[in-house]
Amino acid sequence: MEIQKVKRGFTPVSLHETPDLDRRFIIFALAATVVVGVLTLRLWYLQLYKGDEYHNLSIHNRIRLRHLMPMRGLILDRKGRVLVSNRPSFSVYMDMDQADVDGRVAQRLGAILGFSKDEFSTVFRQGKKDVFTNRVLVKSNISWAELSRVETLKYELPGVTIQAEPKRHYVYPGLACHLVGYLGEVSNTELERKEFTGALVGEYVGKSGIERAKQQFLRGLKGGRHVEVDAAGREIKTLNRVDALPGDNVYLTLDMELQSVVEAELRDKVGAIVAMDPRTGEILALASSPGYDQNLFVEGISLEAWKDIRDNPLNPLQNRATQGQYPPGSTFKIVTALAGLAEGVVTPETAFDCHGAYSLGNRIYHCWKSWGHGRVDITRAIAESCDVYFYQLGQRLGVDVIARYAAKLGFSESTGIILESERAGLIPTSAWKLRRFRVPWQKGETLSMAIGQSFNLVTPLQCAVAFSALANGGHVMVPAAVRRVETSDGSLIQSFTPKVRKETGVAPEQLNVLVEALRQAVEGSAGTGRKAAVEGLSVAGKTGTVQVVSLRDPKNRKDVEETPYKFRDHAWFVCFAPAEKPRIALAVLIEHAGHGGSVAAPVAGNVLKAWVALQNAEQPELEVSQGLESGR
Amino acid sequence: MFDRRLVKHFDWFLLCLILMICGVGLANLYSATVRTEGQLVFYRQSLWVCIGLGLVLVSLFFNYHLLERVAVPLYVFTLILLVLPLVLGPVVGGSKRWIILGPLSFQPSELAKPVMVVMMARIFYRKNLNRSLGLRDLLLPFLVMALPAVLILKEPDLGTAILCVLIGLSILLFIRVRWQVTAASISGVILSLPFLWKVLKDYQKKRILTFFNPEWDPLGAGYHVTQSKIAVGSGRLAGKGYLSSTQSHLNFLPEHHTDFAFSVLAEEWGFVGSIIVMALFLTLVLWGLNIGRRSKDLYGSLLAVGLVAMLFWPLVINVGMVTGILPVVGIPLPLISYGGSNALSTLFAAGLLMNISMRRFMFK
Repeated sequence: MEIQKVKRGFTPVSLHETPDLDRRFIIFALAATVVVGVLTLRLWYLQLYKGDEYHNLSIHNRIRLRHLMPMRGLILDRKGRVLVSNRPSFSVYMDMDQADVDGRVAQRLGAILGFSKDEFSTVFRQGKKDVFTNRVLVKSNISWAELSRVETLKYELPGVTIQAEPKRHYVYPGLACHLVGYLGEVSNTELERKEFTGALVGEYVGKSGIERAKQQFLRGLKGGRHVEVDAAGREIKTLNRVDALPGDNVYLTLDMELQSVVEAELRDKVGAIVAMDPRTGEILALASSPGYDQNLFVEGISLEAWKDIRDNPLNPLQNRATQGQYPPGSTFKIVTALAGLAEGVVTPETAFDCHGAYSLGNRIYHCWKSWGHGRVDITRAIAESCDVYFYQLGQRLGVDVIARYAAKLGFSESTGIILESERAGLIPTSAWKLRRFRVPWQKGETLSMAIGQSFNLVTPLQCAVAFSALANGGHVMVPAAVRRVETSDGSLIQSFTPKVRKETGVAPEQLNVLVEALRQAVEGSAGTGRKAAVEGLSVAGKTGTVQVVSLRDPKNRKDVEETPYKFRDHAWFVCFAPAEKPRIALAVLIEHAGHGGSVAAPVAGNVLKAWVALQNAEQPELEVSQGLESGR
Repeated sequence: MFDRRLVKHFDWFLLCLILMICGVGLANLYSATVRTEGQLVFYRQSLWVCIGLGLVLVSLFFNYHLLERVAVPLYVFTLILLVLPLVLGPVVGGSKRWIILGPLSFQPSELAKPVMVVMMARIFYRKNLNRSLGLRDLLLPFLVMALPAVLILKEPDLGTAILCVLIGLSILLFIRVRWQVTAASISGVILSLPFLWKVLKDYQKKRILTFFNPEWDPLGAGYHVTQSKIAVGSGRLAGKGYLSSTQSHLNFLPEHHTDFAFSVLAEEWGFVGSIIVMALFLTLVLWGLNIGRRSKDLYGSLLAVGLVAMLFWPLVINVGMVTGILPVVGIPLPLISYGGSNALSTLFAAGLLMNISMRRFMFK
């Protein structure tokens, strides 16, 4: 530094306070000149030294890019059974330079694929073109016969290439279709989103369910080849190649066998079933009916198939378990009951009289049992689903208190499952009604609300979560669909830890009163859910029947068979088992089917029976494998 | 308020240089886009350049020392603008770089570059620079440089973030720093590289890896560079002629109007054209440095250095990128690549240089 200061003497006098600033300017200027010189040298090298070579390359631009599509990750169930895999599929591409309808290549290829001239011209005009590789897709998913003929005649078909691409394969068509999801061509808006970065136009990406939620893991990494082609577009040599990296495998929380049972129970019915482990929130089965075959979407769905699905009034694409919003019916009575106990409005001993109806103002509110239940306490009121008890309790609580307890059990909010477009449902409050209708809340509406009619809307998944909270001591769990994610070579990327969304904050003794009452609903002699009883398993559950048309008109009180389909009641049954140490919570909803006790409860019973059988089958299996290990 | 001496000392040479580069840029942009994107791109860019030149003229009436006084609020305002797109910005092409106001949209990261320069120049201007600076003196300038860089990296826009750091470091080169601090900083940077690597996004890593091994990813960056090299090389001595580039016309060259605009120029005008453009930019850089050297005070000098760095580094990175000797980090070539925000910030820098130049004999 000292020497520099001395040297400064012969620079022009400047006003600078730092003595060597001037020198630094000169050094910087020299450095900049040198750097620009290097760039110029590079330009000289490219443009003059190698110019002719690059000029040649640019005339024909012979370098083409061929993508190597990765294998999408597998989707497996909780026991490692493969639900979704991939199979090879072959597509024929043609170089754009050769895309001439009257050309010999087109004629030869047309003979093999059975394409007419017109079909070819449509393909050339509207077919999927790949700008990167300068090719147009002629036909995808060709048969083995077509494949072998094109391969044999390869040298008479310049510019024609066959590309092997892995295609998605749903091993059990339709199984858990709403949870697993399906694939579709990436849309332009999706291309701008983070989870789809790197996707090419026309690429198939997860559109719904796990396929979409775990797209980033499942997709893998594309590879590719830089190839040099001749003037006719035939590959001369591969300049370099990078292999594709397969996607990660996703293990669901689902039990494939239980899922099959659940779907069999829903066959020919419209509705949804959710089974989850109340301790962890793991979803063991989730079905919505009607469903669809995801394999239809793999090749790009045909117009007819799409019309069938789209125009089906039952909307098979809707996941009724997470997107279907229904009045909860009498299953909601547990919320009113919980509010009553926790707020101290009633004790387990408090009893009300039920004469089959209750009058408020100038209106009469009926109990479903027109001759009345007599004197009922909370246990009998839940077990026998007495409406009058809950009219009176609801009236004492008021709408906003009930709504608060509904929220404590997770209603009126998304459950947080990773599936897309989950609906939050609706629990009315007085403020909400004023905002929405500009009319104050009516006292009578509280009565309907207390028994789950009114404006209340819930999803089957929310019911499963709420009953799980009753079963596990008050923890509202986030329902989980994925157990773990592993790379294709088996190293763990994500593993599942149970997540509590919120605590209900109700004393265990009060929860136990409800659990006991729910048990009576199934096991008691007058319980409404008797048809869900399973031998050797204590089931705690609640029926619900949602009136689609008002009961006030006695004409509507008819048998199920006599009522037109769309006026029939929705049937609910929500339960958990075993009552003393719950390991499964189950929500069953059947649309337009009749009473919860006669339609939904037997379905739940069947599912629980199958679940017990699966549990029993599992034990010896585990012991055998352990025995083998120790034997080695 | 207006002094006749200002007119006398007006830097006509710099203005001519800027106008020439603008002209070349617009002409090239027209050629690069007219056959693919249509004329709209050209008109829009012309509009931006005109707005920018207008701003330059207006700004000349104000003494650049005004910027020194408003540096702090200006800097804070810019930081807020940088946070905005991160919080509520629309995602365009996977990143949040834009603030959209009705029909107008701009990238606050472009504003951040000159503002950071203004702020750093102010900090050093107010320090006693007769001694070598230690670590404590450098903490504030470092923060001033790092804050926008980190926010821009978050967008994510690696290229502009790197640019911010390079501009900041360029100013530091003109400050005497204790050699221990220099040594410690260099080793610190080397040690933090692995950590930085972790912060980078997948595609950013890919691009850097592609640089060290161009064949590593034939799909993304590698393909771009290969096609760009073919475009540049095929221009040979005299080029293919205006409007006659085949690489961009046939869509082989990606981003031919933004990051790879120089490839189109090199293809159409050959080595001769490329050299002329390089010479124009080098002259601009040297002229700018001379303005800094002759400025009447340290503030002007440091400001000029930062502004020159704003023109110099993108030139190096962009031309290095399209000729395949630097990684593809997506930095536009000032006034040649398409981009309104970039044109405005570049012209703003040029205007400030003129401002410093014409006030070199003035005292407050």
